[in-house]
Amino acid sequence: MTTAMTTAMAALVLALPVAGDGKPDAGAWYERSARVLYVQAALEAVRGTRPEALDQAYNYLAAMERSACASAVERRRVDCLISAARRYCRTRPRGEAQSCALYADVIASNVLVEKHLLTPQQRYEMMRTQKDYRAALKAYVRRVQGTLATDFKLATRAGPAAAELAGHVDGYCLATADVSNLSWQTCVTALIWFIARQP
Amino acid sequence: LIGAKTLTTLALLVLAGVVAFSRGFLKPERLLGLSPETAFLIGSLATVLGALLYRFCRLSERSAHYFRFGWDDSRWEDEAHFLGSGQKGITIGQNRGEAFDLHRRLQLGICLVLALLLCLGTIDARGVQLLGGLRATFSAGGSGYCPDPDEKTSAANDPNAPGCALIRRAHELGFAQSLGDCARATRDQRTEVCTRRQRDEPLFHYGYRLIGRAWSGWRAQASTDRLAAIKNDFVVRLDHLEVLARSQEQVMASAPHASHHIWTNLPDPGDGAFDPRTCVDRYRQLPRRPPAASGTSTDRAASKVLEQVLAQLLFESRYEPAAGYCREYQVHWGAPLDACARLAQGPEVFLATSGALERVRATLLRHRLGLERDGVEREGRSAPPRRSPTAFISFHCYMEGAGARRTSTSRAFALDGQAFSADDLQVPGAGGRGLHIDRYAHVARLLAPNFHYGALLSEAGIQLGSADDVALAFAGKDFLLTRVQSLASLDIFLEPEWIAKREDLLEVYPYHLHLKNYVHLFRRHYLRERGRL
Repeated sequence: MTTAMTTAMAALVLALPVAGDGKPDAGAWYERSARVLYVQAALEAVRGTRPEALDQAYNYLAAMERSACASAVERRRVDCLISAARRYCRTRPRGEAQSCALYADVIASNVLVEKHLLTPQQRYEMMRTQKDYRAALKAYVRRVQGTLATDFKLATRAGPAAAELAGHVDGYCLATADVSNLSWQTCVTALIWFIARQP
Repeated sequence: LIGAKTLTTLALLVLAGVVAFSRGFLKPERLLGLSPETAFLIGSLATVLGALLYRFCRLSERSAHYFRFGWDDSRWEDEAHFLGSGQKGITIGQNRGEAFDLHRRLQLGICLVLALLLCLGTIDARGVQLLGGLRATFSAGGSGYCPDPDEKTSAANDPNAPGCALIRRAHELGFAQSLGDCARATRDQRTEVCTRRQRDEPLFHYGYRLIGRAWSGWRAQASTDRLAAIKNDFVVRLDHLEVLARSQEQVMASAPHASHHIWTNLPDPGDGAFDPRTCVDRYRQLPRRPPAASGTSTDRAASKVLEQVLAQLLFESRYEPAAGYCREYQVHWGAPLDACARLAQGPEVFLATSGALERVRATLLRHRLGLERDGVEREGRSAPPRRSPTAFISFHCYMEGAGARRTSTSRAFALDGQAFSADDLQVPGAGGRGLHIDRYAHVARLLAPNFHYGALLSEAGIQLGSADDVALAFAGKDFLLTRVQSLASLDIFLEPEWIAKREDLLEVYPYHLHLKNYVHLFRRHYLRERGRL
């Protein structure tokens, strides 16, 4: 899909939940149809962005999460990362502005869920045994995401088209939450990030 | 005419060749896979064996007998029938030099080939390894050695190794559950007398020590005091033979270890809930989402919720061992609202009507027999007191929709001389669809009256802000994936009101994060009050 189509999809998704009076229609944004549409747009946004731009955004948001956004209160961390992502997207070229909000969302969410992918004991062992903790963590997270993507592929046999893939990703993550011990959002962001970055 | 030795070696050669090809002894990959040590050993052994075979079978000499294949029944002088019948047959005779015999060098070559094939077929890398360890196996005599006192502490076990200080600090602060390698070194430093074999101890000395130890042990067992104690123990057991036999009977008959009963006015879901034949498998792993929240809205939804809540609190073994054995819990569906009052008034009649009396009495009998057996086995010795029967026999009533307010009553009664209580909990009806998270609190308080779950016990931590702040956190239309991460800090067991209104968020709520903590805390509390025999 071209950049123009990604932009159009992103504009559609971001405009969809707004009710007639401009106020958000609470209770609609995480319903299945809205979720699938959003996942589809996020997949297209990550696919349509250069890997260097994605890496740059990832490094920026990961650094923010460790420094300015570090907080014991989860909600504060989330709000701070959203603000940081918005600021980052304002600095991007005009053509990338719409899709930036979507891929930055996937990245910010990924940065936040990393801690859920390994237990404190595993994290501690990694810190103790690995010389480069960050690289080891990145490799570990990538491995977990890869395993999840493989299981997803085997379970759903979904095609590469984003529209088809999005529905399957949403369904798979809801259905397997009980077995995999991963929440829907952790599963969805991991799958989008891994699958959409495949060549 | 062919010499007997020649015929035998040729037959053996053909046989060995057939076996070698059929079993793949001569496959190139097998030969290439041999290690140099194995190949050397096979070659050496084959040379020795081949030479011995050639020497001891006297293959350098001509054959003493020959074999002849005859087409007619005529026999030569000094010949005897060997094989066959009628005109065709093989005859055997004395060889005076007229029979064909292979040259002795050829015979030696055949012997070597036979020995080589034999060794190739019987010796592999494992065989070589076992042969190498043969001496050590014999000399060790099955003994374990004492550690070397001069052994240096390895870097991994050194408490002063780089990183150990950090680990000790992390352990003190509670970030690490164990000290790992750093702890092992500390433990190894303790001085212990080692009675195993010393590194330089001869085998016979070690054997002498073992015999001495066995003799000392036998003398200690055969002392007058010990024999008197054994005799006394035997007499006591003989006097209480009936108790011991009945106790064993209980074990063999799998008498119940506990009997817990819950009466509820809710109807039986009708799908085998709490069926003792299937409950273990059924409740091993449950969906985390409450069934009513997933969209079902039937008249039996409340029963399904109660089943799910009870099973998650007591039986599900996904997080930790179950707090009870589901076969020992009986849920009496469709009970009258005053079930507990009736139970307190006439326990025997009510329990018999409910079909619970037999199990309760069987559990009480097992408890009594256990007490008597303790008395027999620990006569004259102090023993820890057994738990009261109320720990493993309990009676609860869970009534939904009986009133507008939650009420809890406890009624005391006696059964077979034991004091019990019937705990009655009446809660307002849930009213069709909904989150029903409050059912967890109701059922948990019914089973363990002192259980309390609050913000300080929640893994969500103490969050700042009100319900409006939470609502605001999910009000934005962008960054939907990042926003939903905030749900992890929202403990549904503490503040279910706001999220109950957002059915879309309930679909993606990470139930497992707080359910695990809730179940863990409940079970810890429950097991202090209840348990099994």
